[in-house]
Amino acid sequence: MTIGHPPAHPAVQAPLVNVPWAVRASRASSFWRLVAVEARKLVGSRSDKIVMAFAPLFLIGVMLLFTLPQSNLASAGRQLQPMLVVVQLGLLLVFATVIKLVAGEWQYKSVQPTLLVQPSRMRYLVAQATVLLGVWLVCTLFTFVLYPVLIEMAADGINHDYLLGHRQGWVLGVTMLSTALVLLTALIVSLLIPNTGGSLTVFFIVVPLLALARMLLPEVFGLIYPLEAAWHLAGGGTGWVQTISSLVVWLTLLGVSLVVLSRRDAG
Amino acid sequence: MWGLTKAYEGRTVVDQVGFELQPGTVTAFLGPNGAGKSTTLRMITGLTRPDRGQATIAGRPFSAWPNPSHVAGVLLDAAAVHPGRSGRGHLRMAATLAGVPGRRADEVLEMLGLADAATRKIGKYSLGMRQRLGIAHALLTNPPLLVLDEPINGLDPEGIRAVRNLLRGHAARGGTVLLSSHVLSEVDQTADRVLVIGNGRVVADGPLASLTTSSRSLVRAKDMNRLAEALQRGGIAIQPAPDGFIAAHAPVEQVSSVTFAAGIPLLGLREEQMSLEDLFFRLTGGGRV
Repeated sequence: MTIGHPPAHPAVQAPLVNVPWAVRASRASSFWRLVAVEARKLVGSRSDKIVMAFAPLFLIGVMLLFTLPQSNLASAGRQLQPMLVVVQLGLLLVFATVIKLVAGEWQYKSVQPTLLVQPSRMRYLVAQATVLLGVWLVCTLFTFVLYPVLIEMAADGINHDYLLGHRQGWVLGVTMLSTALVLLTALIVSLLIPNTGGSLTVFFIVVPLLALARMLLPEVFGLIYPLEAAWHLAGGGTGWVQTISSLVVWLTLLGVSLVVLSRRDAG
Repeated sequence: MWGLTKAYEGRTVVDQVGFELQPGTVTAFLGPNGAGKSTTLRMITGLTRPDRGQATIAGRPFSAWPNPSHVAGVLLDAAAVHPGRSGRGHLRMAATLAGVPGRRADEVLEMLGLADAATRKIGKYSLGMRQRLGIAHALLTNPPLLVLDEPINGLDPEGIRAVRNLLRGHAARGGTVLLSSHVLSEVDQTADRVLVIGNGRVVADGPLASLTTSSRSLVRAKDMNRLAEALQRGGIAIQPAPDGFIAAHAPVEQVSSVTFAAGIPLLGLREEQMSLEDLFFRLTGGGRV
């Protein structure tokens, strides 16, 4: 028995390796198992499932809204640029689920049981990033397949030639970049604001406000508008300065959010 | 673990805490709010990085085990679950991650009496149900060590008894349990050993019986005045005690010798046992409310 303060000296014990539980504990779970769990969390609650089920319908609706009423599709740029609005608005439901996944884990501290089963934060983050990569690929593919069909219909409707058919690499590049940039913005916001409500508010208010502000004052707000690089690639950019500045700002924010994540208290 | 130390904003909340746990035992970690219990448990499980010192489980830090849930089942905060998920969904995800079959989730839900609520959203669970879900999560891989922060918080008497039996059973099968609790009477009935922490330092560590044994004896005789005189003549300080006893500041053997020499027939003589509550408040400097 000890009353008072115990001596502060290291106990010497070799790690146990041969007992069955030690054997199991010495084998890390496969990375893909972690990815599978994070993917399952994406549709982990009933509201997540409902939102994800409606996401394609919402995207199609927004695509119809921003393609069919177009009255001037005389250039390839004019045919492609509505897609940037479609990506930003049409994928909102998907981004909402992503934000709920990333920010919700910290808000409800449900990250704690995950880290107690697999303690590496970097592995956890890479698994989430892999899930987001999958989301990005699906969103990109869906948009890349569907958007040209609708914009071609819109061009036919006003007797304009469809000009994107021979520029599929360009269309794919803009689709990939714009989807990636919006998804990255959602990720950064949800990493920096570990609260679902706060993250969703910032993402749904600040980002569209930035888009509006960029329309009014492109030279100024293009500097921090997250999709500036995609607009540049689509032929509607403000200039190289704005494109580079925007990329630097958002990549810096990504770096900051990763540092914040690595130091955040999970308890 | 040894020398665990953690300070927040210049205030040391855990100061050189060290102890070893033995298989087959239930150890209670006691201390008032803010004493450093939860911080210590979080350092043991790698969620908080200590400023100094190290905690190892079976020779390695918790987070150095590639799949640590097979070494220690941990419940730190029963509220740390996503309220939109079901109990079964939550445990199945953990089972996948730990590499145990999904059916194990149903087994532990059954074990903790949550089978009927398995598909219900966790947000609809009571505090006691969340607590049981947290214990089920800790038991998922059937690990040798359980680290449980306030595991009986919010449980009804039936739930408390079930958890007590579960923990005792785990220790009886050779497992190790470390639990923190404020419910002293519960610890009294569950723990083999008590660690008391106050102001970030371990102030007592030992088997429950030896910690609660006092250096005083309780003695009673038909003629209490004669008894008091004899004890004082023998150089033993005395104080009144409940139930008609005198508390003598001497071991039982000495009191027995003095009273025998004085020819006083005794009606009762025993060592004074401090209640765990008395010990807790004496060591942590707290007072009764």
